[in-house]
Amino acid sequence: MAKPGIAVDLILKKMAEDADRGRERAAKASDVLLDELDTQIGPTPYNIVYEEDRIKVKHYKPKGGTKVKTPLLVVYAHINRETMLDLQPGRSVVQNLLSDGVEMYMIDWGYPTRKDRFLTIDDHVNGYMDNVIDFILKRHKISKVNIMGICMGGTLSLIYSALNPKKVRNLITTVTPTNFDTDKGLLHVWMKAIDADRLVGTFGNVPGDLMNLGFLLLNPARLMIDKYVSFFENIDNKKFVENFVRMEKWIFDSPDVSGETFRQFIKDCYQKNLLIQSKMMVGGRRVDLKKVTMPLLNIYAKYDHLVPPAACDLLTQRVGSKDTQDVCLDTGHIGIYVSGKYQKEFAPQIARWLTARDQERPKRAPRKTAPAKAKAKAKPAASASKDTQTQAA
Amino acid sequence: MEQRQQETTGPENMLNAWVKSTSEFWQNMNNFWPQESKNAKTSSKESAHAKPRMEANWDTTLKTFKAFASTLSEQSNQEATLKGLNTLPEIVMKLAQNGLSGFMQIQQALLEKAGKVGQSVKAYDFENLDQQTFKALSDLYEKEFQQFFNIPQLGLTRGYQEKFNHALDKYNQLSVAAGELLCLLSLPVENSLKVLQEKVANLAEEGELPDSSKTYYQMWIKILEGHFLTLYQSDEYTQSLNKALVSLSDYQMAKDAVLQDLLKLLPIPSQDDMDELYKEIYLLKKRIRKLEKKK
Repeated sequence: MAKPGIAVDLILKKMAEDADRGRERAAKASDVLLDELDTQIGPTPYNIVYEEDRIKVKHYKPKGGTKVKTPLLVVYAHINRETMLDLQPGRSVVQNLLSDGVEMYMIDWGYPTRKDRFLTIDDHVNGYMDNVIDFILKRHKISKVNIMGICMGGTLSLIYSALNPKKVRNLITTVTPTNFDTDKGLLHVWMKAIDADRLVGTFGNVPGDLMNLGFLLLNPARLMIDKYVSFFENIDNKKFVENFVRMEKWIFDSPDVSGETFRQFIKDCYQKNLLIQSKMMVGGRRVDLKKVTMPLLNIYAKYDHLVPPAACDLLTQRVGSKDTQDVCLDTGHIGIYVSGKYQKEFAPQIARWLTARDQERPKRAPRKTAPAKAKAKAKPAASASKDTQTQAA
Repeated sequence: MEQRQQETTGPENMLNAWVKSTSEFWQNMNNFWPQESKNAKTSSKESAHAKPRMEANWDTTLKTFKAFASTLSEQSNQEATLKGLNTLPEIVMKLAQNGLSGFMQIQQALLEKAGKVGQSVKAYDFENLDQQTFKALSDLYEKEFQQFFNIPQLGLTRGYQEKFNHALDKYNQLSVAAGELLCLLSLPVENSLKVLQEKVANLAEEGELPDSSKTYYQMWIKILEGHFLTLYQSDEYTQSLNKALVSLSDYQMAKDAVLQDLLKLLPIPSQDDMDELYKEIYLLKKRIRKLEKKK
């Protein structure tokens, strides 16, 4: 007897098996969903050490002692919340950095309300960030702090470092957009067409839900269908459900973005691409990237659909620093921070990089007359090379 | 005899009889004022000539009527009045005709617009439902319906009515724009299912049909993802997305304007009031911080 073209019997058998599995899963699912679930995000203990208006600063101290002398200030984006860095035990950039002896401060930008609609990039950078950094410098009796910026927070950190290079020892930018003149990411294409004035005029602050909808629409097949299919396939797995809910909590915890900050970010960065050209004006001062002279570690993701490598990799060529390093990871925008694979690579690499650059550079003795040689750039004490590194998974 | 009948029933006689009977009627009515009221007016020393206000007004009106009746009774005036009365049906007809004609014109215009609905539909062919449908709908709305929301409003509440109509107009525009965007977003789903069917047919021909439903699902989701990426890179999608956002913000602003008017009736501040206050606080805080840093 010839083999049939369509194995109907086999297909029907598989369907029956799937239906059985589905029924079993549904029975277990009710147990899982009705059981007490641990879906807390941001479990690492911290102290609030500084508050100003809606912003707070979280302080994390390593239990095993501080190995990097200079504390690290983490500046998160204004989109979503900093809890992403401490999503769950075992998948926490915060915990990994603490176990490597890095003392951390992290800005919690809070939830802007209608009264915050007039806050500009200048208010955030030269206002809140500068005040927080002054507070840390005073608290530790030091002259410089390390800064790590996440996504848009990286852009703000870069602006701060260009305007206040004397207060920054080392700068780390992670998935940070700096070159906006690219059509590699859909976000870049869409933002060029968006009417920021109209949006801000209408809403005051740009609603977080509206932005979230935009992000979901970037890949609806995966983010609106496949993700939930995967959830139902694992609905009987308590650990999976807990992690899934944690992620959902974080993703849809979206503060609104202050209107004037959004307006300038879209117009000056996405539409005019002024930052990378050192033409952006903040608080009446030009953001000159050549003034970013401190060591710079620039980490981005190869499969980032929000901030593609093309939006990140120009930075190290444009800054004034001689000690720069590009690291391209084989993952996506969020994968850098939350994927199990990068937990062992991302934070330890940062800790190593910071440790190598943790020495206070000797101050030069003041001279009565400035010789011609003094105008030349001094090479940093640590590795003085422009280095690009791509890490394969 | 016929002539005599004409004399008694002719318009001149009828007018005279009407004037006479009307005058007598109102004179009699005047006599019905209560006696107390008349006594009261005569007993009052201070104002012997003062009558109650209503009666005084009545007297004045009656006098005016009598004067009018007497004028009307004159031969020349009677002729003019009767001439006017004879032409009255003509005037009424003319007025009615003009009114009706204006009304019919509006009706005609509405019918013409309604007629164009069909014309526009035909031109874009609604049988093939695709993006053109929404363009047609958008054109149709802008050309044929939107103008009704822009008809100038009159009177004391014109400003409020105008804002309300504006909000309705913007809501309609948002509906069209959102429909267009949703239609575009549904295209990848529709196309991906077609591609999947073709793929499955090919696999069936080759005798390589997968037996697990998950494999079909994974095939479909991959095709769907590809279709979405293709759609997103098109100018049509960017324009449609932008149009939807613009329509949303237009509607939001128009709706807010209506709500701001309503809020004025309530003892609570409007968003505009609060924004003004917030801006002042913001600027003051900024100045204070600057001064504090200068210290």
